[in-house]
Amino acid sequence: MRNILEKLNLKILLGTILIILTVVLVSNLFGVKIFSSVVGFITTPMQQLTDNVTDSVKSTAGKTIEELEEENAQLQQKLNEMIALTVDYYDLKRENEQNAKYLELKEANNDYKFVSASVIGRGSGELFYNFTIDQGSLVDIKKYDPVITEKGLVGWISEVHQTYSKVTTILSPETKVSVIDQVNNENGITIGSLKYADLGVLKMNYVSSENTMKKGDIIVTAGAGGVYPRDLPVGEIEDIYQLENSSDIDVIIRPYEDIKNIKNIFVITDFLGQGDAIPDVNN
Amino acid sequence: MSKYNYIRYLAYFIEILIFYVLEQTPYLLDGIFGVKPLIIISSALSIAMLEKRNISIIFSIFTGFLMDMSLGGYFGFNTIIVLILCYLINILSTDLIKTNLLTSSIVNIVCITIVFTLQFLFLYVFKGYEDQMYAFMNHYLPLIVVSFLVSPLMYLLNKLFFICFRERE
Repeated sequence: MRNILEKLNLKILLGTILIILTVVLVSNLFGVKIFSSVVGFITTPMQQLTDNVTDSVKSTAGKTIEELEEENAQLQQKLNEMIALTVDYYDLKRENEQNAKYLELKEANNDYKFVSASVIGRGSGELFYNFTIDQGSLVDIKKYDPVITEKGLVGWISEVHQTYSKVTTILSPETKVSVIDQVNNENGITIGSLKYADLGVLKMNYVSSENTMKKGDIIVTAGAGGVYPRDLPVGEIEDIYQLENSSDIDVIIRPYEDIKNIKNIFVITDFLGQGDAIPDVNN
Repeated sequence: MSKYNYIRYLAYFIEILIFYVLEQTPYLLDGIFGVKPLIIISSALSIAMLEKRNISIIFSIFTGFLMDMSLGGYFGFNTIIVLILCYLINILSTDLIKTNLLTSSIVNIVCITIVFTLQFLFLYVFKGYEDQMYAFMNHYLPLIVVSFLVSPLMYLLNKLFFICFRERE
């Protein structure tokens, strides 16, 4: 018996019981619940986890594998239908927004015939932010047709294929537009250059040195030449400066549309006066 | 010709097509420091180093056509340049130089520089556009550098196709 009592293990057991009893007495006498809180902090998440697992097992309990597979297939089909509806929704939303802009433009310009298109490509070597659109000759787009957005002129069709076309922007040196200052009727011709294209602006040449233009004036197309309709907004004057040792003036125009980030455009396939001046020029 | 060759050529074709679409799609790849690399030319050069002459010619023409469609300018301009370069590279790879990552990198830097320099001359300088030095330093040179940076990856990818899809002896 003495051997049993002297054993270390028995002493440890008795000591542990003593500690527990002390804790219980202290908790009950003084209302201290720190130990239960600490234990609960550790065990509560574990209980939640096992509870969740149990619930999910219960919901599938009693069903055969075939029933579960069938239920899974039905849910998958519903999911696919919902995904298709969501895709259609966004397509319709985008189309609706485009149609609203189309209607606005059409009401303002009854003689225009438009085709709406989206930008589908910008090449890695494009210097003047030219781009490719997803419409072509199948919808009556022709070379030299003006390209606009609801904000104003953007460029012209430089290449036409059946299902796609290339647009050269007004920032390109290949684009020369006859324009007029709406405030004081000063006219000139816009031309692009690479330095200005990187800044998103273009310049206006052939401006008389006695002009009365100022910053903020609205620049619109003059309509001369039959290439662009009259009174299409191009941009506003950002800066005017005289070249050194010269009487020439450079007028910097910032286009209304952010040409570097266009997504949707309109191509004017027909307007009143289109091509009218070309026979005269040829003669 | 074994079926492995056909599979390999199909893989090249799909690879060039996919990278062409990735290059063209706006906002999909923002590029390196804002400059979009011309990836497909590295593909064509790698194929020229790895394959026989007639195959390298076919893929160089295909790549050149795609470049003409995307870069604009005179149609056929890029096709001829890429065709000549790939033909010469193929001759060199067959008879003179070893085909490995180092030689591929050297070939790419030389050929990409030639392609973009010719584009700069014919599609910018000879057209009489302004700011020629600005254009070269700020547009063409970054294009050369960035296109070269992706060329080792294209070589390794095409090498992988070459190793995986070939007839076992």
